[in-house]
Amino acid sequence: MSFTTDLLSIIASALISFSFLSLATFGIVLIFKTSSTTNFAQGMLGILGAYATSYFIDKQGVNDLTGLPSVVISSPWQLILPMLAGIAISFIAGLFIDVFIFRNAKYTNAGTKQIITMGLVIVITGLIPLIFGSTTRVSFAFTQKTWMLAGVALPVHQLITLAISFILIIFIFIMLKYTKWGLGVRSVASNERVAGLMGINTNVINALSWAIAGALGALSAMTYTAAIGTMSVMSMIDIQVNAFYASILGGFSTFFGPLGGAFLLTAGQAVFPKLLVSFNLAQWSNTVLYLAIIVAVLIKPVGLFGKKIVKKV
Amino acid sequence: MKIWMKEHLQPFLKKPHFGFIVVGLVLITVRMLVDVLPPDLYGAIVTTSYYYIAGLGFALLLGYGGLASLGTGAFVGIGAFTLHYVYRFMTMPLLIAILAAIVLSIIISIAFGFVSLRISGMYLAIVTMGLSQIVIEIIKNIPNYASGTTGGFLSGGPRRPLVFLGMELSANAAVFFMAVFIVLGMIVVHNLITSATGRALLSIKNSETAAQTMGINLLKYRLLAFVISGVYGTLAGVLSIMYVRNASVNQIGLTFALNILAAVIIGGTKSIWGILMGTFVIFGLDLAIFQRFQLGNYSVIINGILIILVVMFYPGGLIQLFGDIKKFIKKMKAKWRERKYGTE
Repeated sequence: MSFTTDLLSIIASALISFSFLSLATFGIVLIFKTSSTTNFAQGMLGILGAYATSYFIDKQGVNDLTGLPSVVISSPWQLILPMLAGIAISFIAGLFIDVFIFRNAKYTNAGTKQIITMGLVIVITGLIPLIFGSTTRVSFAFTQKTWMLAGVALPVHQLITLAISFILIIFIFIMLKYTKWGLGVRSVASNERVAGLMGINTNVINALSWAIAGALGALSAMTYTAAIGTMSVMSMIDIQVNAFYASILGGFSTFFGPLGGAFLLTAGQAVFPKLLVSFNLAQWSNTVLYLAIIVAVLIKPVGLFGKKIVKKV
Repeated sequence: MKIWMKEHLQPFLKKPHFGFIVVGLVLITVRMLVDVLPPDLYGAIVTTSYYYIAGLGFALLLGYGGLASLGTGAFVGIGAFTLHYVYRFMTMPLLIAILAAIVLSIIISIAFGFVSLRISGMYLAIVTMGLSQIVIEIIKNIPNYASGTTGGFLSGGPRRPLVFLGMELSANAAVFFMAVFIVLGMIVVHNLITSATGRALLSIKNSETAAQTMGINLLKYRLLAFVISGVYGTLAGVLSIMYVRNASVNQIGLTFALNILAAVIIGGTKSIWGILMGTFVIFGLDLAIFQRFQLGNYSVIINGILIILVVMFYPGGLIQLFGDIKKFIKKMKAKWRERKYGTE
């Protein structure tokens, strides 16, 4: 393998992981900024949508011989409509969580909110087998094709995911910058009470943030579970934990910082095994990566792209 | 006799330490009744009691230090796997293995403490989560240390039964150790939080700047809080492997840290008795009560909803519930008196 192939494959795998991670990270940041809590239920919200998608796809066809669902995807709509339904379910779930729970727990402390999100994780973990009948389901990829580019294998499913997440995130950034909703989110992020005093309906902003975070999580979960080929209740834990690391690496204080952190993290995930394998230490790559993140955060506690907030005493 | 009771026995009964010793005695009674009690209730009580130690240590960190750490799992892991390695593969006596685990956890908790000096709030939670992930990765990657990540005293390799002072310990004998460590742990925490140390920690929690102005050494107290919570977590791990005879790296990850956090917050972050209740709600309630009704998946959901409801409506923890009940009884008594004797 030449150097360029190596480099290309590293960039490719970093970008591919980035496509799942960026969506989940953005959801977490959105909730962190508006509800000021670390949402441990982000992955679960997403998985709920992914299960729903898989359920709706399975509903489309049942094998006459075995009685088991076996779907042959012939038109793209067979995939897109269930996906939209799954995203809608996560969207609504997020909305309900804010309206019924977080709206009433607005002025409790951060630890309490964390525990509420943890309680949500437990509830959704129990709900999924009840609603969908089983703990594991089949996940569906957009396509099984693979492109070869300069010796690097690029699964088309991941490329489509990458395109979707790029478009979505750019769209959300434009919304944040130029619409009234975006202005509302930014003001709630800087100070919820003052934003309320200025006439912003903070309840709507918070509820929408949860809903959008849920929808992004669903998209992330669907595409990620399709890429790894299995789906279980615990599938999104890795992505979610990585999203937290990405957020502190980039810094929670801006919206783009965590995304930068997410890219650095996925790049690290691609680079470290390649570097360490020559010393026969490949199994330590995760440890080295986490250490690197912690060292970076210790040097810059507000994150690599974060702004320093001056505290008044 | 009556005077002796009034002068010596009653003050002793009123002391908080008496309550702690009762907990130890209850635990020993439970051990004696192992054949009578239903096995899942027994299991729930034992599980609650060893995780309670981790919760106590964590309460010092969260309730008094204001440091929301998600690294408890790492220390439980250090306890369980160090005991396993030192005892089984280095063939040391049990007490030395426990000491080794404690020393190791002190070293690691100091690292956690230094991190907390630079990072605070929500960031600290995630950074400690990362640190504990590193500890878990190291446990996973050191050969033999975990003997294939799920090893216990019973699986693979040279077997070595747990021996203490020449006696072979059964799994249930670990309950005696739990009783001793719980009583000691409760007394130490009680003494700490009612002393100058506890007040210093509280003042740091409320305002770092103000505390430093009053001459409180931030480094000293932060490190102390982390070391104590680390040692308590390690003891929980040591006791868990002595009882369960098995340990898995999958059990000490983020979920476990969140469970401990939940136990402490549900019970009441500043109350020794509250945390006991909180730990039972998280680790024992499902096993002891919900399983009886054959609820299946519903029991998980009920547990989750219960956690959310308690946290939302009792932000001071379950211990607040007892305060409310006491107030209610007082009110009722007053009303009853009014009815009987009339208003003054």
